[in-house]
Amino acid sequence: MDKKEEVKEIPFYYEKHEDYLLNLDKTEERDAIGYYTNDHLRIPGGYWCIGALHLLNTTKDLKDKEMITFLKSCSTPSGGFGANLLQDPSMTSTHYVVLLFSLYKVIWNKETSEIEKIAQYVSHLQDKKTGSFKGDDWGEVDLRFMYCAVSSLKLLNQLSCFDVDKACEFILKCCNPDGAFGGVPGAESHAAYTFCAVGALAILNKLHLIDLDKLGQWLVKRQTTEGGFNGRPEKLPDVCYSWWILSALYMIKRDHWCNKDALKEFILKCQDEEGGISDRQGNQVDVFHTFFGIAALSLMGQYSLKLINPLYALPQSLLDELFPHLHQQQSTISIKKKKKKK
Amino acid sequence: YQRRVHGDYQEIMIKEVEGEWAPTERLAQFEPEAPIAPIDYSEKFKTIMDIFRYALKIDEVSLRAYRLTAAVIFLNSGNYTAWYVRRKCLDSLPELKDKVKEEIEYLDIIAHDMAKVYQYWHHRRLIVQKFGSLPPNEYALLEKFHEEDDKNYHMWTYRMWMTEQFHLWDAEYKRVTAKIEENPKNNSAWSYRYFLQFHHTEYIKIGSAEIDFAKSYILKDPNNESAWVYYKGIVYFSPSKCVGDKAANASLAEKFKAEGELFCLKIRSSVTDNRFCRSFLVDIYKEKKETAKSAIDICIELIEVDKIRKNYWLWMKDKILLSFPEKQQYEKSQHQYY
Repeated sequence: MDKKEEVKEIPFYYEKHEDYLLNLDKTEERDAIGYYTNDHLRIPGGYWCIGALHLLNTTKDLKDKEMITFLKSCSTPSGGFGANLLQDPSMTSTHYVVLLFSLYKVIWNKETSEIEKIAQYVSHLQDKKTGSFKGDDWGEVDLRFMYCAVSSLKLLNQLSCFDVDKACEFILKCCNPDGAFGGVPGAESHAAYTFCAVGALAILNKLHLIDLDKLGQWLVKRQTTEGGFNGRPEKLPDVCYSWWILSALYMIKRDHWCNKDALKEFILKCQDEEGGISDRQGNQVDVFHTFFGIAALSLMGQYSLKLINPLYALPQSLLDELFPHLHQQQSTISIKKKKKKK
Repeated sequence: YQRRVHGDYQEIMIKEVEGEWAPTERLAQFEPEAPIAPIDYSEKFKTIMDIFRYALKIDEVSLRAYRLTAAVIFLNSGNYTAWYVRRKCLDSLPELKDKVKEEIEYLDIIAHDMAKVYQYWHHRRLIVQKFGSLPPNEYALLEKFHEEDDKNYHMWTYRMWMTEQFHLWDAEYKRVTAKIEENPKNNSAWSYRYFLQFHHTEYIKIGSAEIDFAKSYILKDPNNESAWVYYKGIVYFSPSKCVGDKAANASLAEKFKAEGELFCLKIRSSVTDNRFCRSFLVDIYKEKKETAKSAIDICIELIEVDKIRKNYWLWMKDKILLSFPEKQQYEKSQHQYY
């Protein structure tokens, strides 16, 4: 025992989190985020739950058959997916389904027509004039949908179906004087929308279009003295921003600018000893914050968690296995760089 | 009180809605045997949703379908299909085509639960657009939202839309000034002010006054991050993006930088450990060779004053060193990165 250690190190409650996630249906916390009134959160909830379990390297049964059946039942003739049976399709639900299908390793290359249908649904939601993406046919626009569209289409290897340049034009319009991004042009810079913008640009290999140093400065300025990140100036830190901010920093290769030890401490303090992570120390846990807390720790290479990819929020090993075209593009780029240097 | 009354009203409304549909007009939810992330529905919710699923299946557009959407929205405001069906009814039924004002009143009544519901704000936008002018109750409603959460992102982006739609620039300028006075650390209000001021007004006309505005708040509280961000935005971003001759804007910005330097030095000497004035000084000093040393000195100060961002300031210091290598009399970083 090191006698110099006065402060007790908080453990990471690995098994407790796994239990919490596997038993979501039995916990009482459902009422905390109004589960029964939020059945449109079933698919996102599924992704946060299963995604986190993957990072925890779980060997437990993840009810593949039931989940895949349920997901497929949410498909619509348009190619998009709804949040639940008989619900109209939306961009976000479709994106979550693509992520969940990836986690469950539903094999894509055997069903090309299905892939094309999804791609067609996603790409038809692009506004031809502004380059932005709508959330659904009734027209709500903001950067969330840009990220969902770009990520989905890239994973499905269908980038040619939409206007990439126009999309980037719109993203840039959402960039503010401080170097970060709001949800729509002129809107306040916000961590989650910044993640969406940076993620989309990173996936499209267009990060050179923005001032990365300025962006990096904004991102690290979100770190509070408590170690956690906030989403905008003068707001309280929240565990979910650990992901939005940290992954953006990794994407622009400036993650070493922040204080990772302090961030880690903040996340650990937000754990419940019985399992689960909350937004802030002492608050009620929920699956959303549990996923993002674990994802941030994974990014930092902690606790032998499976490594998550910052652009797609999927395990890196899974991407390597299922989406070889992503890897190819990245290698091509590094080769090009080498040639330039010579 | 209003909430409870509203709750009672909703209870009665749901009973009435249920009564309009025969017991056979239901469609149960498909439920796989052991669902993951399962949801426990209340009976009330189940019945209404079963009716709604049935209505969707037969694609019903009718008065009773319209009333049904209110029940679905009450039980699950995130169900965007319900909002869509509601609009479909409003657009196509002869009895509802002119009921825009009534729809706005409905939206006002249910507002207190809808602060963070994307679908609500989007729907409101479409209905108000249809109405064609600023609804009489709009400001009162926005004030209510503001009281609950003065940084509600949806509310602010809705406000931006409303201002552009109905040309409320001058009135909104007065209002945002009041909002900042109410809560000087409301970053959303500062961001909105920037939107109002710098998207269509000449930089030369307002740059100086707006900087004075920001400075006045910094003097009241030198740790007001929003005021500093606003100030920096005017000096560094606006010149090239704002209305006006770019060269004239740029030269004005240089004048602002010189003034800014004096202002920041004053704060630095009078306020202990203020990271904002130092960060601004680094920006100003690092642009020129003559002041590179000063920039580096302040980075070193910031390593102590802004500890959580030590790694960033170390990087900045090294970057400036690299840009102006003649100044490299400094030893290599003695500090460790985290």
